[in-house]
Amino acid sequence: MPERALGRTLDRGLGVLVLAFGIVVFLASRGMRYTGANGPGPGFLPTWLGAALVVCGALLVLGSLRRTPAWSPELPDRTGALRVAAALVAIVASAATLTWLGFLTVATALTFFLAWALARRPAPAAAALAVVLAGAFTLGFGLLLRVPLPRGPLGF
Amino acid sequence: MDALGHLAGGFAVALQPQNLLWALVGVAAGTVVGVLPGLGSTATIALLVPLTIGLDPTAGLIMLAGIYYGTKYGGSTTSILLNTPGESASVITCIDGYAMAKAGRAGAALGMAAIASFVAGTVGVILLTFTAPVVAEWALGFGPPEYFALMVLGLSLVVFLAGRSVVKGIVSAILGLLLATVGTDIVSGESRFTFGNALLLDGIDFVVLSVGLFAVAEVLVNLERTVATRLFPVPTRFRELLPTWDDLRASRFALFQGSLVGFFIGVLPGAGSTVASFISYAIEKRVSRHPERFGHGAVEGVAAPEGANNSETGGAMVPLLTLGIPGSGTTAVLLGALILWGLQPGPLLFVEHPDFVWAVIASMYVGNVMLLILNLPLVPLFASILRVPYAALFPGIVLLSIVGVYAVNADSFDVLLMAIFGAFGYVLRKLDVPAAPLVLAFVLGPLAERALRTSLVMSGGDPSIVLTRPLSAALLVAAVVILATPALSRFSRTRVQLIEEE
Repeated sequence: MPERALGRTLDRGLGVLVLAFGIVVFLASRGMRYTGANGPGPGFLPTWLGAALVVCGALLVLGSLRRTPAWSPELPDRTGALRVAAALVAIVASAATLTWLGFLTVATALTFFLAWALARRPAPAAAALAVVLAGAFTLGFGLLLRVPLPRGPLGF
Repeated sequence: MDALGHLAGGFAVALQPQNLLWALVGVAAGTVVGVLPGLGSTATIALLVPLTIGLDPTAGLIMLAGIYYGTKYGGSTTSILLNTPGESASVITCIDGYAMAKAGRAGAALGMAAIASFVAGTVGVILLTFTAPVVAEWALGFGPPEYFALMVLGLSLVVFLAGRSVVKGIVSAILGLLLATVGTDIVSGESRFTFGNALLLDGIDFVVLSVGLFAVAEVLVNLERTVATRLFPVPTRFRELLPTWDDLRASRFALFQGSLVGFFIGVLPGAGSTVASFISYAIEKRVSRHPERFGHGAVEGVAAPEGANNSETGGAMVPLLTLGIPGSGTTAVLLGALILWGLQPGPLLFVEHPDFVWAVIASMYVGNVMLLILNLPLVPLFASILRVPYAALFPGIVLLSIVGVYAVNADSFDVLLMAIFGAFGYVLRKLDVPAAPLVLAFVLGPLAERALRTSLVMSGGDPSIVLTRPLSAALLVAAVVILATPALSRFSRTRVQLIEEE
């Protein structure tokens, strides 16, 4: 598909998504009070923001129907998309295990994975980088700057 | 006390050893970030904000501001040696800077970039010194209605930060406003969009959002592919880095106009340093007696844009410090940092915290001198950073993001949110939706809502209070005019053309 045509399709998809999200926000804000003691209540701003999203979504859809967009999407190939997804999963997994395993363990594992699996460094080099970086961060931030980094079951 | 008296007081604070050290850390980090393609000042400042929370606000902002203007110095090194801009503000420097390097004059190009950055950067700070107090004094009469109107004016700037599509910019801003509503409503105490999650009752932290949107998203975009680079050899002898007298004579006007153009473009919200460097380059080429030399290694083609993009930072600090209006993604992050430290940017900052404001301004003079020293004799050292493979760099950025975000509340839920915002920022980039309006709205939205509600309490619930006070009405009219500008096809064409050139 030509790039500009792909841009048009993406704009249309974005428009539909924004429109649908606007409706959800609008409906969700109906459960909040619209007015308070002196003017707007907690639901005032979200209601109008939901409505504005609906209008913007509609404008995006209409715009994509009327003219070719002035941008060419730069989408990743299959490998690129997999690398991005793997990095995200690794960060989420780190967040999920940070409190249980401690910063040093998680940072070592994460750095090794990023350097070995995504940056294609040889395993020994990735392991060395992981140990150096995780150690430097623990020392620099945990000990010197006293950032309260989480400790694992082994005390680090 | 006049500006010079305040500035002298500012120097007394800025020259304290610990503040000198933080300025040096900031400008050195800024230079490194500027040299490295794929890591911008916005992402770096967002990354480092949480780690500066424990610092004295003066030291913290001195360091963050150092990163901000330091990146402008470093960006030219990559443009000249690699034909790849380290920063978007140095895109245009590639044209003549790289041509000079190909002709064996890389040293002169690097030297001229450093000198132009120093001269124009200093002129920008001088202009900041004398204009900021005037603007702040004018804005001192603002009450809640005027503040509300000012915040609306600030929010209307999404038009300038919108990228190619104004509608997408507005969508981004609305999403920022929505994210700012998450948590407990300040007036009623009711929770909004927390989905029963107690961890969201305090709202979304600015650091979590900005690190995710800028730093993590930037890493993800760079992970898509690896690009091999070829670096020109960097002159190692100091004499080889100095431009000739002929170069300096040829660049006199470029330095002058670059300084002025950069500052005034900087004051204008949303235009930014990239636009400043393009305009300055265009002016230089237009007035030159030998325009045919541009594109083939004209030294003025390096001096003008490098001067303009450094002077621009002085200009951009005027609306940020005096009115609390950020004109770009980077200054929006700086505004967020000020709020995190418990400071409210705006005219009262000059009255309530003069030591802080003037120390930061004074530190910018000192920082520019430091940068000149760093960027002339030490430029080979900084250029060698370009040989560090991204494989070693990006795990460090990810770890720094995790540490920075975790440091805010000592809560791993924030790290999870950061990853979500990272993915969100990545998708926004792929869909050509700018992230800067989102951050701008996230910072200004709650301030606007609070000012509106305070105004309504003042008026007993009568909303006309924001329209009947002359200054407030004038600011709202200005906001409407700004929002209407995309309808003017000529303005829109010029804006999109500048973005395409970027």
